[in-house]
Amino acid sequence: MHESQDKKSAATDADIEAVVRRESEEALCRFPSGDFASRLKTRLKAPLPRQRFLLFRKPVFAPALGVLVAATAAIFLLLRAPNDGDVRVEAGFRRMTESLAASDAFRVGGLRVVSCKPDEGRSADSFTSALFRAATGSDAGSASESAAPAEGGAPLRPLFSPDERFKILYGDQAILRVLTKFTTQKEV
Amino acid sequence: MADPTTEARIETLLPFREEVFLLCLGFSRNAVVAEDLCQDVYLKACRKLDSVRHPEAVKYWLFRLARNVCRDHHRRSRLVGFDPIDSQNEIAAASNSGETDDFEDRLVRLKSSVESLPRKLREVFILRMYARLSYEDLARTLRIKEGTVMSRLHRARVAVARAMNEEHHA
Repeated sequence: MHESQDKKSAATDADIEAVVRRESEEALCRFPSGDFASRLKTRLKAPLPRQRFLLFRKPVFAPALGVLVAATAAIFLLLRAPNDGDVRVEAGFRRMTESLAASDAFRVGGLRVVSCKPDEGRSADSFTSALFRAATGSDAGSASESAAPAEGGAPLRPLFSPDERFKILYGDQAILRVLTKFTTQKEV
Repeated sequence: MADPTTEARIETLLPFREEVFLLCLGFSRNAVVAEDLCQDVYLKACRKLDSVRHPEAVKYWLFRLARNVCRDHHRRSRLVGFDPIDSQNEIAAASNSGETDDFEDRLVRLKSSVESLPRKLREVFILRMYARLSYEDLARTLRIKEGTVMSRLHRARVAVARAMNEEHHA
């Protein structure tokens, strides 16, 4: 069985060789040897086909275009980002209270700040007041005590303008900035 | 009259034109197309010859270029979806067994068998059988080991033989 298959395969190998040889010889007979070089020279003298998209073939333009697109996108995002209202303020406020709650007490500019944990839903005004009390040391009590205005006491004047308060509500860095400002005010 | 540099380039490359033509014939399965492809190969080679660092590697570089040109042509022709007129005639002639001789029949079967090979096997088969490259030249052209060349060639031969037999019995 195997032997017969081998014979068949060997015969086909010879067939393959013969067919390829004959095909090659016939094709080579028609292949113009002298004409080939002259035709090649003629084609080489002809100008190169016009290059399309010349702009992108220069190595400078593609990166420049990329930078331009990125800059435009950045400007668009910057212009679009701020001032979309209370949701953003609320989120910032929650972030700040959480970061304050994480540490019981810390010092900024030589002033002791106790932890303030305003309840959920407490306004930014009351929290700022609590922060003011804690910062001045006038009320070094617990969070709930410091957060509420003293009963019968004079109402705490707003320490920061609405604009500044807005700044408070933007995370940890803003807290430090506001407190530093407060320290300066106190010293004056 | 071409400039001296071009003349020199053509002179450098011209000794290999038969191998390149046969290689193109093996890939294209059509003598007229092969001649055009051979011209394209030489046109590209003359323009890019400066990129070859070692003069002794020009031959292998040229064969690689030819293979790539043929591969591109094959891909394009598959995309466009046409068959050379000659091959259609051959198939028609083969189906009409009373009017064709044995060679035509075997040629058609061989071409379709080679076409059905996997790419790596087909390349080795064509470079060896049509362009008649030695094992060493084949290895350096395809940047593979000689053992790999031999192994692929054996597998290609067996596959072609089997396919031809199957077609014959079908």
